[in-house]
Amino acid sequence: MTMVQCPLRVAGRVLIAVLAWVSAAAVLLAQSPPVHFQHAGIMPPGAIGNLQLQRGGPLPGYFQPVEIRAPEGVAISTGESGQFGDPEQAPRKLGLLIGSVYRMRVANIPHHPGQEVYPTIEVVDRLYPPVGMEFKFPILIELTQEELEMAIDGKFVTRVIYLEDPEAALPQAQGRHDQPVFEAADGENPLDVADSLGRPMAILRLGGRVPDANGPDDLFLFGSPALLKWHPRETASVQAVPEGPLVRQGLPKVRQASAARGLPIPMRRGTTIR
Amino acid sequence: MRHGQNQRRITRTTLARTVFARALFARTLCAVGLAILPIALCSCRSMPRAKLAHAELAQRTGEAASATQAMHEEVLASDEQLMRAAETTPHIPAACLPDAAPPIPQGCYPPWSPPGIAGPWPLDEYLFDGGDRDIAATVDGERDVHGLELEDTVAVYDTIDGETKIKASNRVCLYAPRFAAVRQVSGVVQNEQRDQPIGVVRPLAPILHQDDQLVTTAVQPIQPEGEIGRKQPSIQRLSQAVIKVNSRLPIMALAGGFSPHEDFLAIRQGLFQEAERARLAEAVTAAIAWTHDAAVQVVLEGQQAVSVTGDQKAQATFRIDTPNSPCLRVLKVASTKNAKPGDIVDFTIRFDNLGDQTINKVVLIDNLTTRLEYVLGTAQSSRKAEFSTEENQGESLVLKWEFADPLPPGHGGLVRFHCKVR
Repeated sequence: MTMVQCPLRVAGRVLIAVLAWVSAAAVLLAQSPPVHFQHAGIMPPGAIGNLQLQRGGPLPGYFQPVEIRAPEGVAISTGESGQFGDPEQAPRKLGLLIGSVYRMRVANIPHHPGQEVYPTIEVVDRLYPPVGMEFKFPILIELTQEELEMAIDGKFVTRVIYLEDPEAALPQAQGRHDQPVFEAADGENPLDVADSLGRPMAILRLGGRVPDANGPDDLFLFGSPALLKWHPRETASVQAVPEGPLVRQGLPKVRQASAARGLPIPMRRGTTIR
Repeated sequence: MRHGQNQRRITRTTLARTVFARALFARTLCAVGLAILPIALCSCRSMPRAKLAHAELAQRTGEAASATQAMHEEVLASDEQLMRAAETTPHIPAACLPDAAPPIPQGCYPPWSPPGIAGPWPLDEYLFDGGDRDIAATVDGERDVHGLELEDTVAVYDTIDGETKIKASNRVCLYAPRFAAVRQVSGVVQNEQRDQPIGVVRPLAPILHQDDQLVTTAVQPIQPEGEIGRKQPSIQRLSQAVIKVNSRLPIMALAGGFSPHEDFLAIRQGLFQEAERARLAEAVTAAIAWTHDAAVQVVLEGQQAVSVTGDQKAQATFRIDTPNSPCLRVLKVASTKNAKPGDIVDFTIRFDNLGDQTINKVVLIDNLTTRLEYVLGTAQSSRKAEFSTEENQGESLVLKWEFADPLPPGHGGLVRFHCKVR
């Protein structure tokens, strides 16, 4: 009798467990908001990016190119090895890890000599451009004069940069330096607003903290995470060399027999054209 | 005896422990499952939205891209002009040209795309133009196009038998991500204070004043000058009885009337009656027995006719094939496969009559997407056409070329225009 009832009892418990799973799933799906960002824009820097990494996908270890634009003359330094690196003129192109927080030092602000702002940038998603086009299409992060002055005045600015949904794109031309900005009202979550308009890519936070008098510490620089610096290649004009015996003397000799057979052409190393 | 009782007691105890252990294991399993399932559901729900929403569209785009590639190659082989255009206008963004930028360290991950999804991905980083998305575009008898959405590019034409057809082009993809921002500004310190009101507002009662003025004017009704007249109808419906019910047209050219074996309505009047089927079958069988392999050669209007029902029977039917396979191919290419806001992109649309009949009234329609702005004065056409534009729902333009001249089989044309990426 016991041997007959035991499997039935186990089967009944499994059935109850399955029903509990189904009901829990239904409740979860019903309560899910229409957007996948369930976090607030006021969360501490790094929290949203780290949660984004936990969602999976090819995000860890990828250096997402970003281009930081600022008013003319502004110098931007990045946190490197526990201190700020050499300032460089904006715009700057950097490769930033997703989920890490990067502290910048912005100096030479127009009309505010001697004052500095220390914004943070947190990349929360990445682009998937064709191979080789990564730095041609970076995430554009703009430091406007207005926002820099707000930060100087003691206000805190949260700017969520998102990728526009082409289906809901604004029907207006966009130049190189006029990124459209939507204002999120008080009490509104800027991440939710950005998520409803497109795909949030990065969060810029301006204002708030300044480094200690002894200099920035590791906590202030968020551990100085690794980054890539990209500099455009320097181009130099090359003058055309007139044809003549001088050029031919400098060229490496080619054995016609090898070339005719399709064999690799032997080259002398160190040969220079004068 | 005692040893036996002890043995049974130990057995019962062991059995009870085993049952308890199994029940505990089942409960633990259920609890772990209950804990894991919501996490799994959360992770499924929280996948990148683009991954879920664009999977199916991307698959369709991939199929369309491969089909477009085949069409593209076919046209390149046949048309030198388009070949030159297509050399500078690759339209499939799968491959790319190397840029001056250094390679990005990918870590242990290659360029990633969701498994099983081909074509450009994710779609929110691309601009599309051409094809017929979502709702299929249709054309009615009055040549009004319905279901023309943003990005759609279609051609409308008439066949020789008066039918109006519509054909969509391929889809062109441009990698052109665009960014915007949402900003929130908050003060570090906020202080709000309300002062106690010190005054009392006492409203004064209004003084009622009413002033009635006498009416000084009156509207004088005008006597109607005419009356509505009723006129008796002068036309009556006339019912006329049908006089001619059936028309018998016997073949009068035959001398001596019909022979007995021709005494069928099917022979005399071309009418087939079910009652004659059996006798007709016998006659047909007899006819086949006497039919030679070298059957009657039929020529209709100077064309070799082919037998429909077979010439080994008495009732063979012959027909000639008239051109009735209209086919228009529309191919669209772009000058670049990636663009930034402000860049100019050249589009070329090639259309060819691949059917066996001349088509008329060819109209090419391109409904530009929101982020493409037509550059005025850049529309070109290799054939005589009337070009017009009108605004669309995406605050861009619908470009329309109307070709007045008919398009014979094997002929085609090109149109070009420039767009600025918004």
